[in-house]
Amino acid sequence: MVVNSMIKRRDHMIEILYQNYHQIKHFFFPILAFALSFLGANSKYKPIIITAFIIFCICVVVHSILAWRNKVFEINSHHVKISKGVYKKTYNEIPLSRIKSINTSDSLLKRMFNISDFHLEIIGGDEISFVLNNREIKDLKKDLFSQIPEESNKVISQRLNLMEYALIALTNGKLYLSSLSICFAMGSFITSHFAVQLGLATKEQMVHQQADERSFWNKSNEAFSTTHASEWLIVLYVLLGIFVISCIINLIISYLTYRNFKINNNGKELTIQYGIINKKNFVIPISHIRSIQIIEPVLFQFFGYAQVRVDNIGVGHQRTAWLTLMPALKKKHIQRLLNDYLNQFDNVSIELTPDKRTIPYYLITHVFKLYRVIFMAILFYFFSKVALVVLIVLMFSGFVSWRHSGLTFNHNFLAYSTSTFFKRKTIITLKRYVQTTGIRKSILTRKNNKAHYVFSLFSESLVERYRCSFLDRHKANDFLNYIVKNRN
Amino acid sequence: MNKVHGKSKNIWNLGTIQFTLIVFLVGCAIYFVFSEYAVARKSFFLISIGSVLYLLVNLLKNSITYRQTGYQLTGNAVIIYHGGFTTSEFTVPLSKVQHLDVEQTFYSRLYNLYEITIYTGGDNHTIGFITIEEATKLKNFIIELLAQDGGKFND
Repeated sequence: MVVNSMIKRRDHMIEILYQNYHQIKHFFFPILAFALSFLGANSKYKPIIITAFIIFCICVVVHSILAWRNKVFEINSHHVKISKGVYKKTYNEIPLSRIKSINTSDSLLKRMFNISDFHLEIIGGDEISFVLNNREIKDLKKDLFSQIPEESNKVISQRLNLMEYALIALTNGKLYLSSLSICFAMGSFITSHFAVQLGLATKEQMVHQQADERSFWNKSNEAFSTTHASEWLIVLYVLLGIFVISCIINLIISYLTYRNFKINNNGKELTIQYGIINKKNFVIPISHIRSIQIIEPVLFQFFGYAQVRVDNIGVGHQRTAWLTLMPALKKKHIQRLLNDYLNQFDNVSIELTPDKRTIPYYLITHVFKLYRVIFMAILFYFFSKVALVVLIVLMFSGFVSWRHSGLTFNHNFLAYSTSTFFKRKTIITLKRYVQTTGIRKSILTRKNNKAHYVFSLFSESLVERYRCSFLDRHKANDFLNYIVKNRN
Repeated sequence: MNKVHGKSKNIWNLGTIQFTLIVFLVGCAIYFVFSEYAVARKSFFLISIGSVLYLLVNLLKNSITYRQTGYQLTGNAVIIYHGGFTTSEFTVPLSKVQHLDVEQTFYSRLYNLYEITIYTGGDNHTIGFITIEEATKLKNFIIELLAQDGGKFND
């Protein structure tokens, strides 16, 4: 491995600007907006809040300049050396052999300056990031993972259809929350600036509203107490409208996020690229892939689709703890996808599943968890009808959990299937990453010749343990002997 | 199966009594500070009942746990048994062991007993409480095997 990067360097200067923009947009601006809306836009505290905001912004600017100046790094043929810090200085020297994956990401602003974020993920869960120009990143990638060809012939672009984008959009909760906030921001802008033109209010009402010094909290309370029963239907239509608009925004965001989805396997590394505005590029050595996850949210199940993810070795909480191999795909095509890109994996079927006699146990154990019992008791005390509905939903969730639970273990893989609130998840792990296996027997299982199968997987989270409940006991000994040949 | 030391029961019981006392004292504090509120009085009553039940159930559980808790060393794995109302049996291949901890808790010092925790890449298992001789023997056995075979005696 020859690395021609033994000069000390800093992040690109544009990073100072970007950090400031990011901090102010994502941290200070929402706090300011919340404080102003809570206390009222015309509150007497407004000048104090705005002064505090300006002081904070100046602090952020000074801090980001110092942080940029103090962050110095050097990559040589053996190590990445990095020193950084404003108040506390840290110095790190990381052997190149400990790098488990590299990935790049950029944004529209960064693309204009031909620069990207370059992230190195270290075995052990740490991540270091640099901001470099694209030429430097290309050279570094070649040096760090020398096998990556500059122009690969095997890059295959996966075109998602409208149905697949819709499924992604409707099942991504986090994305939906951001769409909802965009929707509310747009609604607030329109009603405060164009209410007269749209016939929603008269000029007098608008003047009165602008002079209103009450906080958002007080206004909302009054609005709730004065709304008549007949007006709730209109409120319902408005909420429905907000939902539909949010879904459309969600669809657009999903399109921009996953457009140009490309996967490439050059035999040593798996490269995944996607995005139009924010381009993402991930490179993982194939030897570092621990397992694959097949995720099926409820909507995906209805239409026979699934999402395939890749678990990186030493799964932690970093961005590449798991990577999307395919955001939406027909279930019948999963095997083909694996054959094309990850042929060390098979879409194995789940063989050991709990039988029908165990359904009541799944229903009971799903409801009788300490925090759920306390929650349900409080709910029954105050809103008995709502509590009954929640109880039925919980029990149904237990039934779905029974339906999706299962385990398979063979010479190459251990596959485990479970469901969390109706979302099915199957993890197929290479056998060598299974750390321990165990069998648990409780009073309920002993009577029925059943057992809970427990296993742990290699992970940076210190403990990553899974349990498949109420399976037949006849495979228990095989399971205990699974990772050691004849343990006795 | 090598069973854990008989005094383990006492150590677990002392831990249970300590926890029960802490909860009960918190309940008392709530009662004396907020005694004019009916909710505080009811909470104290519930906490007291809960504490007594917890104490009784756990004292019973500890004596059952003792009967089924132990370990077994084989050529390539440690098999760990844990009892109680729910019993479990775990296979920890020696090739997957990352490191070991030998510890003494506050109460185990009273009996000069130790517990040994075996860490793998995915979870950890504790064997306790055992004598220092047994803990050292177990620790040395695992470390020597790891050193000799470089963790490649399995698969």
